[in-house]
Amino acid sequence: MAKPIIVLADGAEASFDIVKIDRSKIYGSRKRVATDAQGNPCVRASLLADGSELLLPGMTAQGYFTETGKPVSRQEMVGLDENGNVVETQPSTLGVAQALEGPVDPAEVLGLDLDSVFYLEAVAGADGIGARLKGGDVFKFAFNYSAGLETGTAYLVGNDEGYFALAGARAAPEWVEEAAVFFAEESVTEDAGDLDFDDL
Amino acid sequence: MGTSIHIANAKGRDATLGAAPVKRPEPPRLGVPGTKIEFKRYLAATECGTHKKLVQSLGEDYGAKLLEADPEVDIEMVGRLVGQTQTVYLAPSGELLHEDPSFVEVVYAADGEEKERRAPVDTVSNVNADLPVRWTGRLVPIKDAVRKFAFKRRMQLRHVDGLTFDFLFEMAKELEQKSSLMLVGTGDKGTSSLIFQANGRPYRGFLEGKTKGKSYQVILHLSEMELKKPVPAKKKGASDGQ
Repeated sequence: MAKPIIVLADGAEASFDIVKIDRSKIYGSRKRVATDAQGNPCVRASLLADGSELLLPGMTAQGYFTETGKPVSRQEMVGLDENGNVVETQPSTLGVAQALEGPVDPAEVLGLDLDSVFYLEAVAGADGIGARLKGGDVFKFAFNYSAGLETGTAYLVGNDEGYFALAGARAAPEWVEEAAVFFAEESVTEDAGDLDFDDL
Repeated sequence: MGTSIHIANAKGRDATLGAAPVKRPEPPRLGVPGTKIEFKRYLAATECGTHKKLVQSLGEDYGAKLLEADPEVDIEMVGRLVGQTQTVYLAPSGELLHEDPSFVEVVYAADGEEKERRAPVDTVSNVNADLPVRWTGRLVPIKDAVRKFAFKRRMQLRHVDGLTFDFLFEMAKELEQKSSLMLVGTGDKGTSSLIFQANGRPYRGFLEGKTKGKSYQVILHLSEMELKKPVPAKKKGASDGQ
């Protein structure tokens, strides 16, 4: 099990166990399976373009190579920003208390490029922050599930189902002016709570 | 990369516009300072080096034999870069299937249990169809929306000429005044989900609008799930290949 999310709220630590969730854990999932004429499941494989080799699952690997074809090991590599400057590895934030910022404007959450959603189960010290989340407050904190080249952002929200962390990176849309023409490459009144997500 | 979307405004006037994903700034990447490197796929083993074949030729406990003589390494093939490939299917016997396979859709419940097997139904994109994406009239306050739905994708709507600039600018202004997201949908009544490509994921769409001086932002927030407690897993889903 992953280490907990620990946040510092009003000078006290609140700890939450986390479960990564996606659509399949709430509504189920569908999968297309290839079968032969008798209905037996088939295995998907690849054929090299010249037909010389059939590639079964597990027969290929991926890696980094120089222009001359020399393999580059992970130990030789470092983080580089867009200008080629070395960036330090950022540690995981799990299990380490993170300062909570907020409450923030809920509209900030709409600026998040979402990577993951976590369902949070309160472990300790979460009564105070829990009540604020259930009341509609939204908080922000630094989040890295595992060590990486940058630290992301997560928003802590709550509703009748529980507490959730929405993790990703901030990405602001552009302001569009009239001169910026785009070239493409190619009355209901119910409450929003009635939306049907099961049949999506 | 962008696409086109046919959308109506609050008055039912429709236009075909551009739509492009909102991109995050380029993140740092792994590399070697001063050296250009590329990520490539290569052949790590031939069929003779797979576990199944090694068991057949060397027996179950073949670990020591791999260390002694590298029988799993075909020196002529291993390390070869893999470029374009063609997808093929193998029958359960391991033989190449020389006809198109059939497909069955397996439906799993949230707890991982198989619920149903059925014929798959192909879907088509419906965001640039004859019927425009419509405003449903259902407003969701932003403070409620961010606590109720997970917004997995965002598409920014863009004008393609002067007329559609006016169309989108007015739409942005109207949405901004409401401080809410407008639920949009497809179909006759605008209640169906949005599908951006053939057999693509269906999403619920929520429009947000803002203006600043003579510029605007109209963002289509896309959600495929509500923020709900997950169902505990009973067992893992089947892992049969597709």
